[in-house]
Amino acid sequence: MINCERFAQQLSDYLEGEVSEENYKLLNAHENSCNKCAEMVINARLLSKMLRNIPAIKASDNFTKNLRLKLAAETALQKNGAVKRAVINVRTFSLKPVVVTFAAAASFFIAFILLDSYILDDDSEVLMSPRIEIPPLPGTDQNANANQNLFVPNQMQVGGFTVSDSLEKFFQDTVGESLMKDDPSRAPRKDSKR
Amino acid sequence: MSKERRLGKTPSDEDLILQFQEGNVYAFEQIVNRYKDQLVNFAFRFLGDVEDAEDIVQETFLRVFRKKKAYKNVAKFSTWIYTITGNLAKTELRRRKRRKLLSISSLGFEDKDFELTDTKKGPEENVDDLLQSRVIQKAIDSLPDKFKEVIIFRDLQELSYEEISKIVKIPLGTVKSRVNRGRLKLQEKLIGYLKEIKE
Repeated sequence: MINCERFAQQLSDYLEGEVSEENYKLLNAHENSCNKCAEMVINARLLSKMLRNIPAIKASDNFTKNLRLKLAAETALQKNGAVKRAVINVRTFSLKPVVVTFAAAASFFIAFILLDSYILDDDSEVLMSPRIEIPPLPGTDQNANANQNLFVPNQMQVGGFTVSDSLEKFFQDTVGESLMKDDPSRAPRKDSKR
Repeated sequence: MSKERRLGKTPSDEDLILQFQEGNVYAFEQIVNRYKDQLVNFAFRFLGDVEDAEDIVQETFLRVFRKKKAYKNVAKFSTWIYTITGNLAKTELRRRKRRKLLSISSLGFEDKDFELTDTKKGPEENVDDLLQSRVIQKAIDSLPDKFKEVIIFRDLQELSYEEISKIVKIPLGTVKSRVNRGRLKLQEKLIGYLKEIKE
């Protein structure tokens, strides 16, 4: 049995023929027996006709012209944007040397501070790492250099340089053989630890 | 290349957008000519203002131009372009509602809608037709958005339920239910006018 509520729910399907034959008969029977629903059907048909007959609004005559102008403006903006990006890139590129120089200077400064704290202890003596000492220039005071060397134990001469004991083992283990075989005075120390 | 194009028949919408994707700007112009009127009509029924409707449709075509590669040949082109216009129109409606909330002293939306501004915009030469058109438009405007859009798609643009379902992204059954409820609401709003016509 169809009541008014169910009839209203199926009104569009009923008018558009989207209901089964059996259901159509039930809806049709209700329409014929209910004045309110019959009036609703008449109004729905009239409204549908009115909606379909509403004059269609058309685009204005200069619609396409305006669209072309907008597209042209947008294309120009895109090109302008590309130029601006290129200028920015050039500027960025020209700034790069300054940035690199600054970064390099900062790196050297940090490295200097780190090395300084690494090499020198509180007494400003060479303790933490070996240091190659420059041999005295001809005509300079040899004793002064000798006195200086007294503070560095177990020194040896390699290639005209005085190296500390800790480097002696390094040279013996790596380049010692090739550097020292021609000079007996530079032979590896017997008491050195291998 | 499709069969129609080989045979020299009118290219389908899908053929045109494909050609445009391949760089044929003339195909884009054909799309504009094919869709501008129906989209302006749709946007006007949704917004109730011709200038706003034209702006929305121009923006639609600009987006099609910019995002031509976004269209994939899995859906109808009409579904895609109506979705763009519909989304833009809904955004415009939301913007108006916010603006209306912010400024209650300014000219109301409804007042503005029914100013008799430019009768050359449509073929509404007959005064009775003009009046009827405006009465119906006012009733459509007063519908909640979810009913308004399906009524416009179905009863004014005459799209199929299936296509509306794809555009609005709701199930087919929901589309049918909304169309039916929308029509009943329109009847309620226009009951006095319908009675006058019948007499």
